[in-house]
Amino acid sequence: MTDTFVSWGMSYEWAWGVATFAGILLIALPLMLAVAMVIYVDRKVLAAIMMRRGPNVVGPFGLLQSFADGLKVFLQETIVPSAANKGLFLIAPILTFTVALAAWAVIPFNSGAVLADINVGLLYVLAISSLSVYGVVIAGWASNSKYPFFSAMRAAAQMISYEVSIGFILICVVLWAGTFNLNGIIEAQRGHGLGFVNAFVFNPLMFPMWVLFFISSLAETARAPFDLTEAESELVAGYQTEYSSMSFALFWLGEYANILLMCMLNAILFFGGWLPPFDWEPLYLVPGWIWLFAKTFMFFFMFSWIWATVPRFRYDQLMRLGWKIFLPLSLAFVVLISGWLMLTRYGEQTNLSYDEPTREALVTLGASDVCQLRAPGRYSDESTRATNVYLYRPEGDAPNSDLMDIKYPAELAGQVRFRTERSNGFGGSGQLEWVNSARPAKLGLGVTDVITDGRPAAILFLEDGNQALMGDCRTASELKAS
Amino acid sequence: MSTLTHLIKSYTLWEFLKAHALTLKYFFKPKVTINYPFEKNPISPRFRGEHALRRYPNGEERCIACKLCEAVCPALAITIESEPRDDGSRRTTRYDIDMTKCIYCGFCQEACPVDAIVEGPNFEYATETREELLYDKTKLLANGDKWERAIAANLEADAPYR
Repeated sequence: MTDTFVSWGMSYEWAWGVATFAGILLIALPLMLAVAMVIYVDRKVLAAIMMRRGPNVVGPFGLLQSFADGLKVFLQETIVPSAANKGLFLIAPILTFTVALAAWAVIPFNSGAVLADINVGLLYVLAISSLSVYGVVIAGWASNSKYPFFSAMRAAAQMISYEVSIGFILICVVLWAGTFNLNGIIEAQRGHGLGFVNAFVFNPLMFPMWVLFFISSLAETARAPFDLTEAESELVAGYQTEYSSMSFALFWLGEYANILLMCMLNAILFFGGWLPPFDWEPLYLVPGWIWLFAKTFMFFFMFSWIWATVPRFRYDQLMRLGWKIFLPLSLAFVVLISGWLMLTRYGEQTNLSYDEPTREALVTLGASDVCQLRAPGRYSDESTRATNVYLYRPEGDAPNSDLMDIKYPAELAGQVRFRTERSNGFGGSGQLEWVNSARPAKLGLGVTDVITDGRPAAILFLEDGNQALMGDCRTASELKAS
Repeated sequence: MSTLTHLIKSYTLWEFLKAHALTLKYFFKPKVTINYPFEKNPISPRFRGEHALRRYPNGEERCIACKLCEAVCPALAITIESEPRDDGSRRTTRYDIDMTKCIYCGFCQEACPVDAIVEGPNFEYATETREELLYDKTKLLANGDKWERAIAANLEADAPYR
């Protein structure tokens, strides 16, 4: 989007600012609408399972019910208890709501359609969900009343217990995908299952992890059957007891935004995100975000379905589940998955082969290294097409020097150039100029022992395509010798 | 063996899944909600609703001011004053029922020897002020005229059992 604004004549900083602001609005406003609709869907699904109709009076089929509720809540009087800590009391719902919105910055709606495509996207999401505990604790404390305080302590304990197991499950996903970047994780799922299913979940090692993640996300968002903090008639309304009007609405919106976020994470991490379910050409005609929303909606339906079906956990049962069952299980699966990956993917490096045309191109281009790069998830899959990147560096220089040139085969020679702009000692970042259009790219080149046994490894990030390709490199002399 | 099956069922969430299959089946069943203002549930002929003072077919009011209903009313909601009418018959000049005191027990209609005061089938008479719920004779007679057909049908249906 920044490019569009730049092409209209704005300076880069302004264009970036306006594009970011537009991106934020483009996410936040539909999100608010989605939250209103999701509350309505929740009530309708709950009602349908109970053989009753749910809201059907306000607006056609009761669609405007959430807006009527919102209006009612806005028009209430904001009461601040006299004994409450006024500043903290008002900050808590703001904090909850802000944090719930902040996590949406890294969610990819399509390849390239992310507000902030950071390389540690998943870590960011985990950090943000940890911050949401603050809102609950501050609300309970600031209310200065025994029931909200007690309930807030329980809610906070519940949230952090299940965050631990969520953390380990995320590690499993990251191990398999090879990257924290959410788009990278989605790309790694392309054709993962039996070659044509775009999802991690049908992998027998990952399926239990999905089940654990689903249940942990129910617990994290304090959703049934783990909703003892809010539907607890024993503790009135829990930590939200003293809240009315706008502050209550913020809690409510923030809670459902969190629920939507968790549903979307379920879809992204295990079900292929914006990829269609099957790796079949005609399905790619449907825009990616439609697939993502369909999957998210399916998960939300499951959330409501569970709410209508099961009774609530008692607090001690909930804690036991989190610490004595989920934590050991997820830890065991981290070990299992790491073991599996060590065996199949990172064991021997003899599975990467360089064919004749590669060697010829090597000679023609006068390159000093050839790196065969593949998408991270397909690293060990020989059948996928690898991109060959030819590097030129002056004789005798170590791989992590900043004098690098990327070369492409003869037919593109002269049309492709990698211009190094910054070097950080590990690699260079700059512009990959390709057939008259510039694509920002980063090439990281270094020597790692873990993956490539002492040989140089390369990671090529194409920033606009959001693809991370990684692979290892052989020097020309090695290749000529083999 | 039973501990093993128990363990397997626990870890595969077997009963949990069966429960969800059941609720999904109910998701698709026809809903039992009545679309209230436009659809209503059937009510019994014995239903005790809004009060009405009835008349004879020739138009003469039935009530003869015997005050049995006033005496039997447990909530003391009925107030009656009577005087001979110009043609000499015994009639009420004041017949008030305080609908906010009334407990809708139906004793008045059981006590009445001439089926004058009855509780009709109407329950939709909410008002916006309390004063409108303090019914007087005019209101009760008007009710009677309005609801006579329904009340007569109900009386006929219930007569064998009274």
